[in-house]
Amino acid sequence: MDRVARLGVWLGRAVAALGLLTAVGAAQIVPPPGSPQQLKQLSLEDLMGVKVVTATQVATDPFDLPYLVGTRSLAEYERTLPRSFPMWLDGIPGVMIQKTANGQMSPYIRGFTGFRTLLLVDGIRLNNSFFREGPNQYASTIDPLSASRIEVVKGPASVLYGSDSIGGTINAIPARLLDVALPGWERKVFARAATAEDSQLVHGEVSGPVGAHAALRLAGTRKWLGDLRGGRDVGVQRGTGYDESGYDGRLEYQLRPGLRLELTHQHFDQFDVNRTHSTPNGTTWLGLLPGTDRQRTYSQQRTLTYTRLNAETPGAIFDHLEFTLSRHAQNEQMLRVRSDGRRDTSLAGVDTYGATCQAQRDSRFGRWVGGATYYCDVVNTSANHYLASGAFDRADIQGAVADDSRYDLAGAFVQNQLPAWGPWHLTLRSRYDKASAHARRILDPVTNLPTSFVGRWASVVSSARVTFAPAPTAPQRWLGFAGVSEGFRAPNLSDLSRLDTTGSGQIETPSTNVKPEDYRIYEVGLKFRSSQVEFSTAVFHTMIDDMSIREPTGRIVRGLAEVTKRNSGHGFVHGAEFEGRLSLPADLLLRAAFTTMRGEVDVYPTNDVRLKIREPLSRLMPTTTRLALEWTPPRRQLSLKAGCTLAERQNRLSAADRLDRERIPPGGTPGYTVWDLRATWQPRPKLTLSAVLENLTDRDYRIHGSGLNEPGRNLVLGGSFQF
Amino acid sequence: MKTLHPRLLATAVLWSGALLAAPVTARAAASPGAPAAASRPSTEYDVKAVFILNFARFVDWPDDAFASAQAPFVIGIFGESPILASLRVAITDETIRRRPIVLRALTPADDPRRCQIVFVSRAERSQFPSLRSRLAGAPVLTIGESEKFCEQGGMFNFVLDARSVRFEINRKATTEAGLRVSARLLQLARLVNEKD
Repeated sequence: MDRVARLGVWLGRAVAALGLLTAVGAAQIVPPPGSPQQLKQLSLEDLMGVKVVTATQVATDPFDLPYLVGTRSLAEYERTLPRSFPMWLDGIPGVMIQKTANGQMSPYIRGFTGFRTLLLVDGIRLNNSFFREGPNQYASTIDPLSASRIEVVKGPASVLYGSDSIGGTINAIPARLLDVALPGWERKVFARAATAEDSQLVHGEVSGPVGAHAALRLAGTRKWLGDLRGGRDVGVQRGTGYDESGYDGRLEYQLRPGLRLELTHQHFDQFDVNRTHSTPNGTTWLGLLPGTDRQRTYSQQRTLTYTRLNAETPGAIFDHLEFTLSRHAQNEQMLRVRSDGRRDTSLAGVDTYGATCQAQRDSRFGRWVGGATYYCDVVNTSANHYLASGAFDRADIQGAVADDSRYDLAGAFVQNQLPAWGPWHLTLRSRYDKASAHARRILDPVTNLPTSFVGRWASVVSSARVTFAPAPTAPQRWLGFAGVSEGFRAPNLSDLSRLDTTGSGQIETPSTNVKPEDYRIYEVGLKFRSSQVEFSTAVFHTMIDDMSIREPTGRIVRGLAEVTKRNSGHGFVHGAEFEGRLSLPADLLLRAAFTTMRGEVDVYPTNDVRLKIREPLSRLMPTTTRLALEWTPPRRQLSLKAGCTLAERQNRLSAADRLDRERIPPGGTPGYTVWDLRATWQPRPKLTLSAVLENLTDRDYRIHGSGLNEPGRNLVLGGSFQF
Repeated sequence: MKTLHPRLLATAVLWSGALLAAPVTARAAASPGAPAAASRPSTEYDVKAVFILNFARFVDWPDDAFASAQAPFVIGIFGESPILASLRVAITDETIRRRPIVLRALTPADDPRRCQIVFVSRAERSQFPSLRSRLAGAPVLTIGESEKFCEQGGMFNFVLDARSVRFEINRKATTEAGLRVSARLLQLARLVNEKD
């Protein structure tokens, strides 16, 4: 029996012991967080702070959750005016937004990104089996104005969401139309412009009732970005401009009280996003080396269509039922023009069909949530090569991953929040997943002939989380939490069949021997809330087991050293996060956030397979502190905020980081202190005007691991108007 | 996954322990002094129900609003709404100014003047103008959850703002009905002017 089995036995015994202790009457039972019994103990002010998830109608004050959750609302977006969906997450402790290109931003959560963070749109997976290990561009295909809020669950949440949820899970949730009564058609326009980005954005939407029982929303966004101007020394970063556009529609129909049908369609386009660091347009800032490609351009499209049946049936077998059918289509086109004029094109299309169901039942034996998910990816890829003269040279058997492939991911989970035992709440979760891949056309890089592969994997993960709220009804509330959660990542087509150059100048070739990766996180945290002070803090330790890492084979393929994936990486990430606010006299509010983390994993630093060492995790977020002072006078529709971000130098580099001279300066990414000012004015209830002055000192700085510098002094203006 | 069987075994043991413990803790939860519905779902309407209880405590009704000194405090629900179930739980063991609380599901045939509070569900918002005319001058607090409810003469209205429940107050309507609203409520509410 391995350590996991022993942990399960231990937890089972602990839970049984808790029950026995309860049986002898030692405990005072308190209702679960958010129940009317507990809500009655809250002051009016605290009651107004309770968050409700209207989709499931389950009250979920993040304070009561046994983990840290970062949330952002659309109202915050309109006040802070971030330049993209990923930048909306900026500032959440533990989250770093790396930017390979201006339109290709990849959130790192607790040290992980790519296929080790999970992106969801209204609970539907955006991740698919095409996702690669490193930073990717797919989070940039979500139009922030199609969502009403986002939630970031930090740490493994594989038990609820399945594979890939290792560093964290991001969920973009659209507005529920029928939850806000719409007396008539309402129109909204939003506009944003920024000087250093040379960008303009316009957004329009209409929403309103259709008959007595339905509501409709139609919206569209168009954005133009010029070349991004860096700080005072870097100046304009040529080639970084691009355009993007999106539209979405949503129809909700109340079939009968408690039974709702939803239909949503979203589409997003990104046009000609250049990875300038790979070209001579890359900067030479602090010793960076520009790339040699003449051009490296990506375009991508994402279309999501889904329908959901939502039933509230209190008193029936299940209190809440939800069924979802979805189709997610993602396409991308890459153009690479090499220094000698040869051109490579690569196309990829992934159609993901999904079906999920979820049920909730509250009983004397706890609050049960169970569900099943099934996703099927149909993947087609191609790659063509052209001579400098423009003449066709050859077509590859596969593109970035195997062509003509199918990937199935099915899972079922159960969660139970046991009846409270005094101030203690215990939540248990388990999940079983089965993944299978059928890659029909994989290039054998040695024989240059097509081959195929079929693989199947299964995984079981569990989590146990406990909260301790010593005085849940007091005006000053404390809550401690601790937990163990497991995460897993099933091998995807990228692991099994990727054929691409790496950032370190090697060629990654398909591997069919990888197995699921295992992760386990231990986390302890504390939260406090009063009318004057609120904070939450946690320390975490993530154990990495059997991570699939690139292992040199010693062979040369297409003139480059070959690497391929093997489950030979072990390591850890640990860190601490803090977020808090303090009310000061004169209507001032001080906000603070802090993140620090360390991470190490086994790597092969060179092309020598015998040399395996433990090194810092690649592109790890540097220690970062954010401070802000906000002034919001009562009964005035004005808010002013001054903030600064302090990031330490990141010189804990992996071998790949040190080789990545196009993105990481020699010796590491310098630390920085950046000052921002923000003003928001709401002269009328439906008119909001905001101005943000970013990077007051026009400093040159770069987010660790990025392919371009951040904007220099940047005046951002935005406004929204409803009529 | 190196081997699946140890994990399956660990998971089975974990849940066996939890399921063994759950009935025991559940029995304890059902013991005297424990809330009867400790594990029922908490909803948007749970929050609204608790708000309604608070409204009842921060609003003064004239003495003639009650038939007698022992008359209960009546909350009427106009239209089908999950708030009825939430209120049933919320009023357990509660009184308002020493009066027991009675919940009443109202139909158009019922006399709303017998209530101290009438909640108008979103589904019945179109019925509010006629309800309002029947309540004209009566000391009955009307609470809605529809946009422009206060502009149409309603007194309190719930709105959802960034997943939090907020409320609006139409002072003109409460004053005309002879109800006195506490300054504490007024401070927290969004004040709305009724359209003439």
